[in-house]
Amino acid sequence: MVKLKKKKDLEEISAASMSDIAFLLLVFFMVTAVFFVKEGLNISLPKKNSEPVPFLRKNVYEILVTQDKYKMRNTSFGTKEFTDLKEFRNELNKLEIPQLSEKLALIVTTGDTKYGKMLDALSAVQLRGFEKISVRKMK
Amino acid sequence: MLKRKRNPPTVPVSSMADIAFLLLVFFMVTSVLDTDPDIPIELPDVPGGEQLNKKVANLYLSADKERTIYYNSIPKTMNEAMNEIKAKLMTTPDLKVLVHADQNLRYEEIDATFELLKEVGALKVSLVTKTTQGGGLKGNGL
Repeated sequence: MVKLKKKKDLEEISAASMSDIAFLLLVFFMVTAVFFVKEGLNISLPKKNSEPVPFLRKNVYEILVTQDKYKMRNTSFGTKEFTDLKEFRNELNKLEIPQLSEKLALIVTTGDTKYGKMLDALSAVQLRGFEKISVRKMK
Repeated sequence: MLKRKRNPPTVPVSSMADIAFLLLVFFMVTSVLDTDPDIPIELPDVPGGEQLNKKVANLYLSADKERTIYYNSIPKTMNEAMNEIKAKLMTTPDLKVLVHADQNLRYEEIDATFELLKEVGALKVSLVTKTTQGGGLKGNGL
């Protein structure tokens, strides 16, 4: 008797669900990924030995930053003093400053002013809309 | 006449996995790793900072509250750091210096650093403020 060998089909593993798994992983990582956004205040330093730019006194808003207070001075309103940062920000935002783009915010620091304190003032004047900002140490 | 039985048409989905993995690899390759200097620095928390572009090469100049200077996360003396910045700026003048300084440092000391940066021609500076977190599942303890 002749035995006929039955030809078997090769068994296949279905790869159709692989895409589902891959997309699932992709979506999972996209949703759960945490990213850190770094923020910073951009400044441009003046060139070495550059000439100082003259400003009219009335166009200068001087802000003295010491360790415990902010003192704002201008010919239009005189001198105002604040111990609280929030108060200083509110007052600065309330000020009506015509032709702001021509005005200079001059931040003056003393020997004991902390870096964080100076940045508070710098951020406040930037948010108020001053375009010309200068920082200098008290002589 | 006999009607020939037709198989229902199917869409081949085997290439879908290739597309998915291709996307996965694309995101893995194009994403930027966090290159934050891992130094314990209490950064100032002030509003109004601009988002910094991590894809642009930056130079990291850091100072902790003990006044230790780090250049790209490696402790250096101020002179060494300035020499390295100067050398980098020779080849790529557009580089920005990211200043990570502890908020409790005196501004006088930071100002002295600005003077040195001016000397070496690094005029584009960014004062890094507190890092904010984005994405992820918030409020679920994740």
